[in-house]
Amino acid sequence: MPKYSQTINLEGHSGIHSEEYERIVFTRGNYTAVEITGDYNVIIINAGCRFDGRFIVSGNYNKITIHNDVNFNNGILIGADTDASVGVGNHIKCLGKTFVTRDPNDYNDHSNYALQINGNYTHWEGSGMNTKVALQTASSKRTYACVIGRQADGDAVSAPTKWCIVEKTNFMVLYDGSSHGAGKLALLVSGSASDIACGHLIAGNWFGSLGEYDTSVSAGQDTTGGGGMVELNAGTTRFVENHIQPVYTGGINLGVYGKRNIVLFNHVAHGGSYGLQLYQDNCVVSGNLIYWNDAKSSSTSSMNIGSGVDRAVVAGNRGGNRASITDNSTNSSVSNNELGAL
Amino acid sequence: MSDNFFGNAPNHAMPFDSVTYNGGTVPTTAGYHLVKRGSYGDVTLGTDKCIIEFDGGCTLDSLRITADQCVVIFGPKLRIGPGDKSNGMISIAGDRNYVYIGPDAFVKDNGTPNARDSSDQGNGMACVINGSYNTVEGANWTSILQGPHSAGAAYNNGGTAIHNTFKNLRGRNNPNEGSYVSTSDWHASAPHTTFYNCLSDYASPGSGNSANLGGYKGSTFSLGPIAGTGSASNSNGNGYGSKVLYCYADMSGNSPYGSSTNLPTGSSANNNFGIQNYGAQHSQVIGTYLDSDGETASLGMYEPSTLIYGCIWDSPSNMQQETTGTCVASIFKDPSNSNGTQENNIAVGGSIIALTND
Repeated sequence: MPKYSQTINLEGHSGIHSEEYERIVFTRGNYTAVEITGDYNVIIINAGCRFDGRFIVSGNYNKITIHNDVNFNNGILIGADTDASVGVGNHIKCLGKTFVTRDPNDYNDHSNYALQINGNYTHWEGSGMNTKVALQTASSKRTYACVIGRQADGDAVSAPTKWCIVEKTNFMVLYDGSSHGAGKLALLVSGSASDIACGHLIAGNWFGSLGEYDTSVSAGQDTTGGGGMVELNAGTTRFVENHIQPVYTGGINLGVYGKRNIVLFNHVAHGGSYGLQLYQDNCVVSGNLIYWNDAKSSSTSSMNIGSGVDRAVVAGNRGGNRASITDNSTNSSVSNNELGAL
Repeated sequence: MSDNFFGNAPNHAMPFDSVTYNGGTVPTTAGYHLVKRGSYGDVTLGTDKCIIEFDGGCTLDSLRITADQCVVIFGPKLRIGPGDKSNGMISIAGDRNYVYIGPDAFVKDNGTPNARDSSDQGNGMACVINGSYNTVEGANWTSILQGPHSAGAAYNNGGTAIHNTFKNLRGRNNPNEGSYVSTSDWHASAPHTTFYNCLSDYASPGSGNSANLGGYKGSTFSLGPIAGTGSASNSNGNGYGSKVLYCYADMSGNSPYGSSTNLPTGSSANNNFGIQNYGAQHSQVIGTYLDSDGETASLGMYEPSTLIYGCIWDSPSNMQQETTGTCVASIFKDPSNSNGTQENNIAVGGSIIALTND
């Protein structure tokens, strides 16, 4: 039997895996740090696995299926920290209850991520609400549950990450009970790429813990730390059919800062400031529910279109509670939005 | 380590009914089969409920499914072709089948494209669905279909194929080939075909081709019959009720596969290669982005009762629809007319604001 025909049964074996074209099964058990450096593998993570070290996929074009009740307790990195051309084309698919987080004891001094997607063409596919990517705040630290195209030092990778799919996952940043930290986001997409076509599809996700509105925030609830929930900096991102409903975001719920973004059919509520902020040209925002801001205040717009924005479409949305949109753009179509108290 | 170890040992992810190794014959019976890395020639599934998982690095000459309710899961680095099969390199004639194409896959047809008046169902097409309720899904845009006439098509000249879906796939035509107006990366030529997050690489027919060599490009997404006699809209099949959802087309000069500037001259068809709808009433294009980098690329819905919603196309060309069409919340240059409902669009009157790097 040729070697390439064998199935590798890891049985709790951690470390680097450089196999190629293999069928690798992580059987139920506890693992420390794991790095998949090989290419073209079919990798199956069985139900009940627990990874207490970081799980890194720096190989290319692997198909990874995560079965039920799997915990990644010290984060996942797909690719390399500073290079979008590493860890390319991997498809990670969750079938059941999956939990991805990071141990606060291992936080660096700057930006901390539970799920760091840097490799081009990555497809992260959750199983729905049962796939949770969550990070706790920490004093003076930034906490981003998921990033696409960001380095651990907080900078964007120099050549932006492109062509990713992120879908069917619940992302959140939770208050640790003592500090809201130094900035947070549930999702940050490729900084410094506002006028570069990156072509991501972000679809069918939930952002925030989906708790009910509460002015008193306890440990384990959505943090009020500044930053917001979702920030889209990459050009030509399609952000569709997502749900953003945190208890208390602190910051803007959905920041659209990349050119030619398409934002359709999302539910966006409870911005600590604006529900939606649109700061780039040639974007389409339509078919969304964007409402309730500043603790349901009617003094702040649910939607804000910045000055300097040229030729944007913001139409066919339901917004509130304020009965108007803050619009400082030029040559835009901002109309047919139903606004006011809900 | 015995063959059966992988199939039936406890505490493994999948119990398989069989394991096939390089050079063996892929089982086609009902059941759950594992196929290891290797080469397997032509594979035809003629028995219902056959489920096969292929490991990474498998090579086939073709895959044809004539049965129903089969599931075929390809691992990474699948290779099918280049080859020439009359039904297409991947062809699905049954109903309710599912095919997953893993990362870094390449399915290529290098056959002669259908003539514009041909009723053949697979010439020059990498993946053809002739049945109903089937899905072909890629891992991401590294799962590639390529054919001179079509990368992926849902088509049946008897008109019985309905409700098929292509998802997360990348498609392109072959350089320097084509077949007049019917050449397209994606064809919704059967009713209720859905393309979800599919990418068109465009691929130029090449500047050196003459009309006789078929150096033409029809469109990136074609809604309607696969071929026509006299015009594209009077042949068999139609794309009634088809949808293009959250798709993406790159026909810019930055595309490594050729841009719209490389077309031969001599046919008006060369001026329309965005999304073209001839013969697909009640179809929709939603949340779709077309990057032509300032080259010609139109979005034309030349049939009744169509919807264009939430799209952006970077193009100096036009949007066109019929009097019963609706186009809202989209960005383009200028409409060709005032047909139908046109609300909340931005007609930029020129190239939209440039991206520095796409």
